[in-house]
Amino acid sequence: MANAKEETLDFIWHAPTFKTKLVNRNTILSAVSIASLFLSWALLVHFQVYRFSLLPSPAEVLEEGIAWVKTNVFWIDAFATTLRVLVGVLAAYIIAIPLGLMIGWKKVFSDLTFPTLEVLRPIPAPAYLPLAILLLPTREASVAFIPFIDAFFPVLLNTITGVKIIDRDYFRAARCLGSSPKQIFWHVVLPGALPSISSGCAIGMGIGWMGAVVGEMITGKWGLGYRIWESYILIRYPLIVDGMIAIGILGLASSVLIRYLTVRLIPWRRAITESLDESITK
Amino acid sequence: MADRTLMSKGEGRISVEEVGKIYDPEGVNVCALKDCNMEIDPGEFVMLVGPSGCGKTTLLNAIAGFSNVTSGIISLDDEIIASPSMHQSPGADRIVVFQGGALFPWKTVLGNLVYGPMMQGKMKRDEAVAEARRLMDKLGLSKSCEELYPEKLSSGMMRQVEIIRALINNPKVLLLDEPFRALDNMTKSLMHEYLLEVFAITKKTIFFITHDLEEAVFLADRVLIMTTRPGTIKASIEVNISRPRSFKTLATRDFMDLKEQAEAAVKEETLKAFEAGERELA
Repeated sequence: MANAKEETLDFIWHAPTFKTKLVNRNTILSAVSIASLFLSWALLVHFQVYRFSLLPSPAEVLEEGIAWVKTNVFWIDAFATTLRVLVGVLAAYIIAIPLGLMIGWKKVFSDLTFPTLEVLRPIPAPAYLPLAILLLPTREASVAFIPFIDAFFPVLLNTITGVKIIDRDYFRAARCLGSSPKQIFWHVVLPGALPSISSGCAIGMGIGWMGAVVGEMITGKWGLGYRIWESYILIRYPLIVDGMIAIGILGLASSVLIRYLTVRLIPWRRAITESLDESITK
Repeated sequence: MADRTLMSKGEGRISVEEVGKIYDPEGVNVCALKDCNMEIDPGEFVMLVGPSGCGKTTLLNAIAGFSNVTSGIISLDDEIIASPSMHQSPGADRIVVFQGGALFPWKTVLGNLVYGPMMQGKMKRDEAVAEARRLMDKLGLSKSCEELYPEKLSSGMMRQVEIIRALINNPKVLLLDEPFRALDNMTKSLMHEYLLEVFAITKKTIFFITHDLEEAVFLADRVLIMTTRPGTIKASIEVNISRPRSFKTLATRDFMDLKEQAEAAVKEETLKAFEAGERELA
Protein backbone atom coordinates (compact mmCIF):
# COMPACT_ATOMS: atom_id res chain seq x y z
CA MET A 1 0.00 0.00 0.00
CA ALA A 2 2.66 2.45 1.04
CA ASN A 3 4.76 1.45 -1.92
CA ALA A 4 2.02 1.92 -4.47
CA LYS A 5 1.41 5.44 -3.28
CA GLU A 6 5.09 6.32 -3.45
CA GLU A 7 5.29 5.09 -7.01
CA THR A 8 2.44 7.25 -8.21
CA LEU A 9 4.25 10.23 -6.73
CA ASP A 10 7.29 9.52 -8.82
CA PHE A 11 5.39 10.43 -11.95
CA ILE A 12 5.11 13.92 -10.54
CA TRP A 13 8.49 14.05 -8.98
CA HIS A 14 11.79 13.23 -10.62
CA ALA A 15 14.58 14.40 -8.41
CA PRO A 16 17.71 15.34 -10.34
CA THR A 17 20.58 13.34 -8.92
CA PHE A 18 23.50 15.37 -10.34
CA LYS A 19 25.62 12.29 -9.98
CA THR A 20 25.37 10.99 -13.51
CA LYS A 21 28.27 11.36 -15.89
CA LEU A 22 28.29 14.41 -18.15
CA VAL A 23 28.41 12.35 -21.35
CA ASN A 24 25.95 9.51 -21.40
CA ARG A 25 23.08 8.30 -23.52
CA ASN A 26 20.68 10.89 -22.13
CA THR A 27 22.90 13.90 -22.65
CA ILE A 28 23.70 12.81 -26.20
CA LEU A 29 20.02 12.50 -27.00
CA SER A 30 19.34 15.91 -25.46
CA ALA A 31 22.07 17.43 -27.61
CA VAL A 32 20.63 15.78 -30.74
CA SER A 33 17.19 17.13 -29.85
CA ILE A 34 18.38 20.72 -29.50
CA ALA A 35 20.69 20.49 -32.54
CA SER A 36 17.84 19.29 -34.76
CA LEU A 37 15.76 22.31 -33.73
CA PHE A 38 18.52 24.67 -34.89
CA LEU A 39 19.20 22.66 -38.03
CA SER A 40 15.60 22.65 -39.21
CA TRP A 41 15.35 26.37 -38.46
CA ALA A 42 18.52 27.04 -40.52
CA LEU A 43 17.22 24.94 -43.41
CA LEU A 44 13.76 26.54 -43.41
CA VAL A 45 15.31 30.04 -43.54
CA HIS A 46 17.98 29.08 -46.06
CA PHE A 47 15.55 27.57 -48.56
CA GLN A 48 13.02 30.32 -47.84
CA VAL A 49 10.21 27.89 -47.16
CA TYR A 50 6.86 29.70 -46.92
CA ARG A 51 7.44 33.01 -45.06
CA PHE A 52 10.57 31.86 -43.29
CA SER A 53 12.43 34.23 -45.63
CA LEU A 54 11.37 37.03 -43.26
CA LEU A 55 13.02 35.38 -40.27
CA PRO A 56 16.63 35.83 -39.22
CA SER A 57 18.97 32.89 -39.74
CA PRO A 58 20.79 31.19 -36.84
CA ALA A 59 24.04 32.86 -37.97
CA GLU A 60 22.53 36.36 -37.78
CA VAL A 61 20.99 35.55 -34.42
CA LEU A 62 24.30 34.32 -33.10
CA GLU A 63 26.16 37.39 -34.33
CA GLU A 64 23.61 39.82 -32.91
CA GLY A 65 23.40 37.80 -29.70
CA ILE A 66 27.13 37.99 -29.04
CA ALA A 67 27.06 41.74 -29.62
CA TRP A 68 24.08 42.10 -27.29
CA VAL A 69 25.63 40.10 -24.46
CA LYS A 70 28.65 42.41 -24.60
CA THR A 71 26.52 45.47 -23.89
CA ASN A 72 25.16 46.65 -20.55
CA VAL A 73 21.69 46.59 -22.05
CA PHE A 74 21.60 42.79 -21.98
CA TRP A 75 22.64 42.55 -18.36
CA ILE A 76 20.19 45.17 -17.22
CA ASP A 77 17.40 43.46 -19.17
CA ALA A 78 18.25 40.03 -17.78
CA PHE A 79 18.57 41.37 -14.25
CA ALA A 80 15.30 43.30 -14.42
CA THR A 81 13.32 40.31 -15.65
CA THR A 82 14.93 37.89 -13.21
CA LEU A 83 14.20 40.20 -10.32
CA ARG A 84 10.55 40.58 -11.33
CA VAL A 85 10.15 36.82 -11.67
CA LEU A 86 11.83 36.11 -8.35
CA VAL A 87 9.85 38.70 -6.42
CA GLY A 88 6.54 37.58 -7.91
CA VAL A 89 7.16 33.86 -7.65
CA LEU A 90 8.64 33.94 -4.14
CA ALA A 91 5.64 35.99 -2.99
CA ALA A 92 3.44 33.29 -4.54
CA TYR A 93 5.31 30.59 -2.61
CA ILE A 94 5.00 32.47 0.65
CA ILE A 95 1.24 32.84 0.32
CA ALA A 96 0.23 29.73 -1.64
CA ILE A 97 2.12 27.10 0.37
CA PRO A 98 0.66 27.84 3.83
CA LEU A 99 -2.76 28.44 2.26
CA GLY A 100 -2.60 25.16 0.36
CA LEU A 101 -1.53 23.24 3.45
CA MET A 102 -4.50 24.58 5.40
CA ILE A 103 -6.96 23.98 2.55
CA GLY A 104 -5.71 20.43 2.07
CA TRP A 105 -5.72 19.66 5.78
CA LYS A 106 -8.84 21.30 7.21
CA LYS A 107 -12.18 20.87 5.53
CA VAL A 108 -13.56 24.06 7.07
CA PHE A 109 -10.73 26.05 5.57
CA SER A 110 -11.26 24.40 2.23
CA ASP A 111 -15.00 25.15 2.20
CA LEU A 112 -14.27 28.73 3.22
CA THR A 113 -11.66 29.62 0.62
CA PHE A 114 -11.74 27.19 -2.24
CA PRO A 115 -14.89 28.48 -4.04
CA THR A 116 -13.43 31.99 -4.19
CA LEU A 117 -10.12 30.72 -5.47
CA GLU A 118 -11.87 28.61 -8.12
CA VAL A 119 -13.61 31.72 -9.45
CA LEU A 120 -10.35 33.65 -9.60
CA ARG A 121 -8.34 30.82 -11.13
CA PRO A 122 -9.53 30.99 -14.78
CA ILE A 123 -8.77 34.72 -15.02
CA PRO A 124 -5.53 35.04 -17.00
CA ALA A 125 -2.79 36.93 -15.20
CA PRO A 126 -2.45 39.80 -17.74
CA ALA A 127 -6.10 40.67 -17.07
CA TYR A 128 -5.02 41.71 -13.59
CA LEU A 129 -2.53 44.24 -14.94
CA PRO A 130 -4.75 47.37 -15.08
CA LEU A 131 -5.94 46.75 -11.54
CA ALA A 132 -2.40 46.00 -10.43
CA ILE A 133 -1.22 49.32 -11.85
CA LEU A 134 -4.03 51.14 -10.02
CA LEU A 135 -3.46 49.24 -6.79
CA LEU A 136 0.30 48.95 -6.46
CA PRO A 137 2.63 51.91 -5.78
CA THR A 138 5.25 51.24 -8.45
CA ARG A 139 5.29 49.99 -12.00
CA GLU A 140 7.87 47.37 -11.02
CA ALA A 141 5.45 45.95 -8.50
CA SER A 142 2.65 45.74 -11.03
CA VAL A 143 4.86 43.85 -13.50
CA ALA A 144 5.92 41.45 -10.72
CA PHE A 145 2.25 40.96 -9.90
CA ILE A 146 1.75 38.93 -13.10
CA PRO A 147 4.31 36.19 -12.32
CA PHE A 148 2.85 36.21 -8.83
CA ILE A 149 -0.63 35.36 -10.13
CA ASP A 150 0.76 32.90 -12.66
CA ALA A 151 2.81 30.98 -10.11
CA PHE A 152 0.20 31.18 -7.37
CA PHE A 153 -2.29 28.59 -8.63
CA PRO A 154 0.10 25.79 -9.66
CA VAL A 155 1.85 26.09 -6.29
CA LEU A 156 -1.47 26.20 -4.45
CA LEU A 157 -3.00 23.23 -6.26
CA ASN A 158 0.15 21.13 -5.93
CA THR A 159 0.27 21.87 -2.22
CA ILE A 160 -3.38 20.93 -1.76
CA THR A 161 -2.89 17.69 -3.70
CA GLY A 162 0.26 17.02 -1.72
CA VAL A 163 -1.71 17.08 1.52
CA LYS A 164 -4.67 15.13 0.15
CA ILE A 165 -2.58 12.18 -1.01
CA ILE A 166 -0.99 11.68 2.42
CA ASP A 167 -2.19 8.28 3.60
CA ARG A 168 -4.87 8.47 6.30
CA ASP A 169 -2.92 5.96 8.38
CA TYR A 170 -0.08 8.46 8.92
CA PHE A 171 -2.55 10.83 10.56
CA ARG A 172 -3.97 7.98 12.61
CA ALA A 173 -0.52 6.77 13.66
CA ALA A 174 0.44 10.31 14.67
CA ARG A 175 -2.69 10.59 16.80
CA CYS A 176 -2.06 7.19 18.39
CA LEU A 177 1.40 8.38 19.32
CA GLY A 178 -0.10 11.33 21.14
CA SER A 179 0.39 14.24 18.72
CA SER A 180 -1.47 17.51 19.09
CA PRO A 181 -2.99 19.09 15.94
CA LYS A 182 -0.07 21.51 15.78
CA GLN A 183 2.40 18.63 15.94
CA ILE A 184 0.47 16.81 13.22
CA PHE A 185 0.80 19.89 11.02
CA TRP A 186 4.58 20.08 11.42
CA HIS A 187 5.34 16.36 11.47
CA VAL A 188 2.77 14.91 9.05
CA VAL A 189 1.05 17.52 6.89
CA LEU A 190 4.11 19.56 5.94
CA PRO A 191 6.67 16.79 5.33
CA GLY A 192 4.04 14.62 3.66
CA ALA A 193 3.21 17.37 1.18
CA LEU A 194 6.80 18.49 0.53
CA PRO A 195 7.48 16.36 -2.57
CA SER A 196 4.39 17.74 -4.24
CA ILE A 197 5.12 21.30 -3.04
CA SER A 198 8.56 20.99 -4.55
CA SER A 199 7.09 20.06 -7.94
CA GLY A 200 4.63 22.92 -7.65
CA CYS A 201 7.44 25.36 -6.93
CA ALA A 202 9.41 24.28 -10.00
CA ILE A 203 6.30 24.52 -12.21
CA GLY A 204 5.41 27.90 -10.70
CA MET A 205 8.89 29.21 -11.41
CA GLY A 206 8.64 28.20 -15.08
CA ILE A 207 5.22 29.81 -15.50
CA GLY A 208 6.45 32.88 -13.63
CA TRP A 209 8.85 33.60 -16.48
CA MET A 210 6.00 33.58 -19.00
CA GLY A 211 4.09 35.99 -16.80
CA ALA A 212 6.96 38.42 -16.37
CA VAL A 213 7.62 38.55 -20.12
CA VAL A 214 3.97 39.25 -20.90
CA GLY A 215 3.95 41.99 -18.27
CA GLU A 216 7.05 43.61 -19.72
CA MET A 217 5.61 43.63 -23.20
CA ILE A 218 2.62 45.59 -21.98
CA THR A 219 4.27 47.88 -19.51
CA GLY A 220 7.96 48.29 -18.91
CA LYS A 221 11.08 50.13 -19.85
CA TRP A 222 13.55 47.33 -19.36
CA GLY A 223 13.51 43.58 -19.37
CA LEU A 224 13.74 40.75 -21.86
CA GLY A 225 10.05 40.89 -22.75
CA TYR A 226 10.24 44.60 -23.39
CA ARG A 227 13.39 44.10 -25.52
CA ILE A 228 11.67 41.49 -27.70
CA TRP A 229 8.75 43.76 -28.41
CA GLU A 230 10.98 46.77 -29.02
CA SER A 231 13.12 44.75 -31.43
CA TYR A 232 10.01 43.93 -33.43
CA ILE A 233 9.03 47.60 -33.65
CA LEU A 234 12.57 48.64 -34.58
CA ILE A 235 12.88 45.78 -37.10
CA ARG A 236 15.89 44.23 -35.34
CA TYR A 237 14.55 40.73 -35.89
CA PRO A 238 17.60 38.68 -34.77
CA LEU A 239 17.34 40.27 -31.33
CA ILE A 240 13.78 38.91 -30.96
CA VAL A 241 15.14 35.39 -31.16
CA ASP A 242 18.07 36.22 -28.86
CA GLY A 243 15.59 37.49 -26.29
CA MET A 244 13.58 34.29 -26.61
CA ILE A 245 16.68 32.15 -26.15
CA ALA A 246 17.75 34.17 -23.11
CA ILE A 247 14.31 33.65 -21.51
CA GLY A 248 14.43 29.95 -22.28
CA ILE A 249 17.82 29.49 -20.68
CA LEU A 250 17.10 31.61 -17.62
CA GLY A 251 13.70 29.99 -17.11
CA LEU A 252 15.14 26.51 -17.32
CA ALA A 253 18.04 27.40 -15.03
CA SER A 254 15.73 28.81 -12.37
CA SER A 255 13.42 25.76 -12.46
CA VAL A 256 16.39 23.41 -12.14
CA LEU A 257 17.75 25.53 -9.30
CA ILE A 258 14.44 25.31 -7.42
CA ARG A 259 14.41 21.52 -7.81
CA TYR A 260 18.01 21.31 -6.73
CA LEU A 261 17.30 23.35 -3.61
CA THR A 262 14.02 21.67 -2.69
CA VAL A 263 15.35 18.14 -3.15
CA ARG A 264 17.62 18.91 -0.21
CA LEU A 265 14.54 19.31 1.94
CA ILE A 266 13.28 15.84 1.12
CA PRO A 267 16.17 13.45 1.69
CA TRP A 268 13.80 10.49 2.09
CA ARG A 269 12.60 11.03 -1.47
CA ARG A 270 16.17 10.87 -2.67
CA ALA A 271 16.50 7.52 -0.97
CA ILE A 272 13.62 6.36 -3.13
CA THR A 273 14.94 7.91 -6.33
CA GLU A 274 18.34 6.37 -5.79
CA SER A 275 16.91 2.92 -5.20
CA LEU A 276 14.79 3.41 -8.32
CA ASP A 277 17.90 4.36 -10.29
CA GLU A 278 19.64 1.25 -9.04
CA SER A 279 16.75 -1.00 -9.98
CA ILE A 280 16.69 0.50 -13.48
CA THR A 281 20.41 0.27 -14.16
CA LYS A 282 20.86 -3.22 -12.73
CA MET B 1 13.99 -12.63 29.95
CA ALA B 2 11.24 -10.33 31.12
CA ASP B 3 12.04 -6.63 31.24
CA ARG B 4 10.58 -4.75 34.16
CA THR B 5 10.46 -1.37 32.45
CA LEU B 6 8.68 -2.84 29.46
CA MET B 7 6.37 -5.19 31.34
CA SER B 8 2.80 -4.21 31.73
CA LYS B 9 1.70 -3.92 35.34
CA GLY B 10 -1.50 -5.88 35.26
CA GLU B 11 -3.02 -3.20 33.04
CA GLY B 12 -4.74 -3.46 29.72
CA ARG B 13 -8.15 -5.00 30.26
CA ILE B 14 -10.40 -4.31 27.30
CA SER B 15 -14.16 -4.68 27.78
CA VAL B 16 -16.52 -4.42 24.87
CA GLU B 17 -20.13 -4.40 26.02
CA GLU B 18 -23.14 -4.59 23.71
CA VAL B 19 -21.32 -2.57 21.10
CA GLY B 20 -23.08 -1.68 17.86
CA LYS B 21 -21.95 0.40 14.92
CA ILE B 22 -24.18 1.62 12.14
CA TYR B 23 -22.52 3.46 9.29
CA ASP B 24 -24.31 6.46 7.84
CA PRO B 25 -27.41 6.43 10.10
CA GLU B 26 -29.48 8.60 7.70
CA GLY B 27 -28.49 6.87 4.49
CA VAL B 28 -27.85 3.27 3.60
CA ASN B 29 -27.77 2.08 7.20
CA VAL B 30 -25.03 -0.49 7.06
CA CYS B 31 -24.94 -2.30 10.36
CA ALA B 32 -21.30 -3.29 10.86
CA LEU B 33 -21.43 -4.41 14.49
CA LYS B 34 -24.36 -5.56 16.59
CA ASP B 35 -24.49 -6.59 20.26
CA CYS B 36 -20.81 -7.27 20.23
CA ASN B 37 -19.38 -8.47 23.55
CA MET B 38 -15.77 -9.23 24.31
CA GLU B 39 -13.50 -9.23 27.33
CA ILE B 40 -9.74 -9.31 27.07
CA ASP B 41 -7.70 -9.85 30.22
CA PRO B 42 -4.55 -7.91 31.02
CA GLY B 43 -1.59 -9.55 29.33
CA GLU B 44 -3.75 -11.76 27.14
CA PHE B 45 -3.03 -12.32 23.45
CA VAL B 46 -6.35 -12.39 21.63
CA MET B 47 -6.82 -12.92 17.92
CA LEU B 48 -10.03 -11.98 16.15
CA VAL B 49 -10.85 -13.80 12.92
CA GLY B 50 -13.83 -13.58 10.65
CA PRO B 51 -14.82 -13.29 6.99
CA SER B 52 -14.04 -10.19 4.95
CA GLY B 53 -16.24 -7.24 5.72
CA CYS B 54 -17.51 -8.69 9.00
CA GLY B 55 -16.59 -5.65 11.06
CA LYS B 56 -13.26 -6.70 12.57
CA THR B 57 -11.56 -3.48 11.55
CA THR B 58 -14.60 -1.48 12.65
CA LEU B 59 -14.20 -2.94 16.14
CA LEU B 60 -10.46 -2.29 16.18
CA ASN B 61 -10.99 1.30 14.99
CA ALA B 62 -13.49 1.86 17.77
CA ILE B 63 -11.04 0.55 20.39
CA ALA B 64 -8.26 2.64 18.88
CA GLY B 65 -10.46 5.75 18.97
CA PHE B 66 -10.53 6.36 15.21
CA SER B 67 -14.27 6.07 15.00
CA ASN B 68 -17.09 6.02 17.49
CA VAL B 69 -19.70 3.39 18.27
CA THR B 70 -23.44 3.90 17.86
CA SER B 71 -24.37 1.82 20.88
CA GLY B 72 -22.69 0.11 23.81
CA ILE B 73 -19.54 0.87 25.73
CA ILE B 74 -15.87 0.05 25.30
CA SER B 75 -13.58 0.47 28.28
CA LEU B 76 -9.88 0.11 28.89
CA ASP B 77 -9.22 -0.90 32.50
CA ASP B 78 -11.79 1.25 34.31
CA GLU B 79 -11.88 4.10 31.82
CA ILE B 80 -14.57 4.36 29.19
CA ILE B 81 -12.91 4.95 25.83
CA ALA B 82 -15.90 4.72 23.51
CA SER B 83 -19.62 5.27 23.91
CA PRO B 84 -22.24 6.89 21.68
CA SER B 85 -22.24 10.07 23.77
CA MET B 86 -18.51 10.76 23.78
CA HIS B 87 -16.17 12.11 21.17
CA GLN B 88 -13.64 9.45 20.24
CA SER B 89 -9.96 10.14 20.55
CA PRO B 90 -6.93 7.91 20.10
CA GLY B 91 -4.31 7.75 22.80
CA ALA B 92 -0.82 6.46 23.46
CA ASP B 93 -2.22 3.86 25.89
CA ARG B 94 -3.47 1.80 22.90
CA ILE B 95 -1.34 1.93 19.81
CA VAL B 96 -2.20 0.50 16.43
CA VAL B 97 0.20 -1.27 14.09
CA PHE B 98 -1.31 -0.81 10.66
CA GLN B 99 -1.97 -3.23 7.84
CA GLY B 100 -0.05 -1.24 5.25
CA GLY B 101 2.57 -0.03 7.70
CA ALA B 102 2.52 3.57 8.85
CA LEU B 103 6.11 4.44 9.63
CA PHE B 104 6.60 8.05 8.61
CA PRO B 105 8.61 7.82 5.38
CA TRP B 106 10.06 11.28 6.02
CA LYS B 107 11.62 10.29 9.34
CA THR B 108 14.55 7.96 9.87
CA VAL B 109 14.11 4.79 11.92
CA LEU B 110 15.36 6.64 14.99
CA GLY B 111 13.17 9.64 14.19
CA ASN B 112 10.16 7.34 14.05
CA LEU B 113 11.04 5.60 17.30
CA VAL B 114 11.50 8.77 19.36
CA TYR B 115 8.41 10.42 17.88
CA GLY B 116 5.84 9.27 20.46
CA PRO B 117 7.62 10.10 23.72
CA MET B 118 8.82 13.43 22.34
CA MET B 119 5.42 14.53 21.07
CA GLN B 120 3.83 13.64 24.40
CA GLY B 121 6.55 15.61 26.17
CA LYS B 122 7.43 12.54 28.23
CA MET B 123 11.10 12.54 27.27
CA LYS B 124 13.71 14.95 25.96
CA ARG B 125 15.35 13.99 22.70
CA ASP B 126 18.48 12.50 24.36
CA GLU B 127 16.41 10.40 26.73
CA ALA B 128 14.14 9.22 23.93
CA VAL B 129 17.14 8.30 21.77
CA ALA B 130 18.70 6.35 24.63
CA GLU B 131 15.42 4.56 25.28
CA ALA B 132 14.97 3.80 21.57
CA ARG B 133 18.47 2.31 21.40
CA ARG B 134 17.84 0.25 24.51
CA LEU B 135 14.64 -1.17 23.02
CA MET B 136 16.28 -1.83 19.66
CA ASP B 137 18.93 -3.78 21.47
CA LYS B 138 16.45 -5.63 23.66
CA LEU B 139 14.09 -6.44 20.81
CA GLY B 140 16.65 -7.48 18.25
CA LEU B 141 16.79 -4.57 15.82
CA SER B 142 20.22 -3.78 14.45
CA LYS B 143 21.59 -0.34 15.37
CA SER B 144 22.99 0.04 11.88
CA CYS B 145 19.54 0.84 10.53
CA GLU B 146 18.76 3.75 12.84
CA GLU B 147 19.75 6.46 10.37
CA LEU B 148 17.97 4.81 7.44
CA TYR B 149 14.67 5.97 6.02
CA PRO B 150 11.93 3.32 6.14
CA GLU B 151 11.98 2.86 2.35
CA LYS B 152 15.42 1.33 2.66
CA LEU B 153 14.24 -1.35 5.09
CA SER B 154 12.88 -4.78 4.26
CA SER B 155 9.16 -5.19 4.84
CA GLY B 156 9.80 -7.36 7.90
CA MET B 157 12.11 -4.80 9.44
CA MET B 158 9.54 -2.08 8.82
CA ARG B 159 7.06 -4.05 10.93
CA GLN B 160 9.68 -4.56 13.64
CA VAL B 161 10.37 -0.83 13.79
CA GLU B 162 6.67 -0.09 13.90
CA ILE B 163 6.15 -2.49 16.81
CA ILE B 164 9.03 -0.90 18.72
CA ARG B 165 7.70 2.57 17.88
CA ALA B 166 4.52 1.50 19.65
CA LEU B 167 6.22 -0.17 22.62
CA ILE B 168 8.45 2.79 23.46
CA ASN B 169 5.30 4.57 24.64
CA ASN B 170 4.67 1.75 27.10
CA PRO B 171 1.05 1.35 25.95
CA LYS B 172 -1.43 -0.74 27.89
CA VAL B 173 -2.57 -2.47 24.72
CA LEU B 174 -1.19 -3.22 21.29
CA LEU B 175 -3.75 -3.26 18.50
CA LEU B 176 -2.61 -5.06 15.37
CA ASP B 177 -4.67 -4.71 12.21
CA GLU B 178 -3.50 -7.56 9.97
CA PRO B 179 0.05 -6.22 10.17
CA PHE B 180 1.64 -9.12 8.29
CA ARG B 181 -0.90 -9.44 5.51
CA ALA B 182 1.31 -8.03 2.79
CA LEU B 183 4.42 -10.01 3.73
CA ASP B 184 5.68 -13.11 1.94
CA ASN B 185 5.34 -16.40 3.82
CA MET B 186 8.94 -16.66 4.96
CA THR B 187 9.03 -13.14 6.35
CA LYS B 188 5.62 -13.67 7.85
CA SER B 189 6.72 -16.70 9.87
CA LEU B 190 9.81 -14.79 11.04
CA MET B 191 7.54 -11.99 12.19
CA HIS B 192 5.31 -14.46 14.02
CA GLU B 193 8.21 -15.74 16.07
CA TYR B 194 9.36 -12.17 16.59
CA LEU B 195 5.97 -11.12 17.89
CA LEU B 196 5.86 -14.12 20.25
CA GLU B 197 9.20 -13.04 21.62
CA VAL B 198 8.01 -9.46 22.08
CA PHE B 199 4.94 -10.81 23.85
CA ALA B 200 7.07 -12.97 26.14
CA ILE B 201 9.23 -9.98 27.06
CA THR B 202 6.53 -7.36 27.50
CA LYS B 203 3.40 -9.30 28.52
CA LYS B 204 1.32 -6.59 26.90
CA THR B 205 -2.30 -7.17 26.09
CA ILE B 206 -2.42 -7.81 22.35
CA PHE B 207 -5.52 -7.57 20.21
CA PHE B 208 -4.76 -8.81 16.72
CA ILE B 209 -7.15 -9.16 13.79
CA THR B 210 -6.52 -11.41 10.83
CA HIS B 211 -7.92 -13.63 8.10
CA ASP B 212 -5.25 -16.21 8.62
CA LEU B 213 -6.33 -19.06 10.92
CA GLU B 214 -2.92 -20.62 11.20
CA GLU B 215 -1.53 -17.27 12.30
CA ALA B 216 -4.40 -16.93 14.77
CA VAL B 217 -3.99 -20.29 16.47
CA PHE B 218 -0.21 -20.12 16.45
CA LEU B 219 -0.01 -16.75 18.20
CA ALA B 220 -3.02 -16.49 20.47
CA ASP B 221 -4.06 -17.40 23.97
CA ARG B 222 -7.59 -17.19 22.67
CA VAL B 223 -9.11 -16.99 19.19
CA LEU B 224 -12.40 -15.15 18.78
CA ILE B 225 -14.57 -15.84 15.76
CA MET B 226 -16.70 -13.04 14.41
CA THR B 227 -19.90 -13.57 12.46
CA THR B 228 -20.54 -12.02 9.10
CA ARG B 229 -22.19 -8.59 9.10
CA PRO B 230 -23.60 -7.41 11.45
CA GLY B 231 -20.53 -8.57 13.29
CA THR B 232 -20.74 -10.13 16.72
CA ILE B 233 -18.55 -12.60 18.57
CA LYS B 234 -19.74 -16.10 17.73
CA ALA B 235 -17.21 -18.36 19.42
CA SER B 236 -14.16 -18.23 21.62
CA ILE B 237 -11.50 -20.92 21.29
CA GLU B 238 -8.96 -21.33 24.08
CA VAL B 239 -5.55 -22.18 22.71
CA ASN B 240 -4.01 -24.35 25.40
CA ILE B 241 -0.66 -24.79 23.74
CA SER B 242 2.27 -24.08 25.99
CA ARG B 243 4.68 -21.22 25.35
CA PRO B 244 7.29 -20.67 24.10
CA ARG B 245 6.01 -21.82 20.76
CA SER B 246 8.06 -22.29 17.63
CA PHE B 247 7.43 -23.36 14.05
CA LYS B 248 7.51 -26.95 15.35
CA THR B 249 4.25 -26.21 17.15
CA LEU B 250 2.60 -26.01 13.75
CA ALA B 251 3.04 -29.76 13.25
CA THR B 252 1.55 -30.88 16.57
CA ARG B 253 -1.76 -32.70 16.93
CA ASP B 254 -3.14 -30.08 19.35
CA PHE B 255 -2.41 -27.27 16.93
CA MET B 256 -4.07 -29.05 14.03
CA ASP B 257 -7.19 -29.86 16.05
CA LEU B 258 -7.60 -26.27 17.19
CA LYS B 259 -7.03 -24.97 13.71
CA GLU B 260 -9.65 -27.33 12.35
CA GLN B 261 -12.09 -26.26 15.01
CA ALA B 262 -11.55 -22.59 14.15
CA GLU B 263 -11.73 -23.31 10.46
CA ALA B 264 -15.13 -24.97 10.77
CA ALA B 265 -16.52 -21.97 12.65
CA VAL B 266 -15.16 -19.41 10.21
CA LYS B 267 -16.13 -21.35 7.12
CA GLU B 268 -19.80 -21.23 8.03
CA GLU B 269 -19.63 -17.44 8.32
CA THR B 270 -17.58 -17.06 5.18
CA LEU B 271 -20.20 -18.97 3.23
CA LYS B 272 -22.92 -16.69 4.54
CA ALA B 273 -20.85 -13.65 3.63
CA PHE B 274 -20.13 -15.10 0.21
CA GLU B 275 -23.83 -15.62 -0.49
CA ALA B 276 -24.68 -12.15 0.74
CA GLY B 277 -21.95 -10.69 -1.47
CA GLU B 278 -20.35 -8.74 1.34
CA ARG B 279 -17.52 -6.37 0.68
CA GLU B 280 -14.95 -4.97 3.04
CA LEU B 281 -15.95 -1.84 4.88
CA ALA B 282 -13.50 0.90 5.69
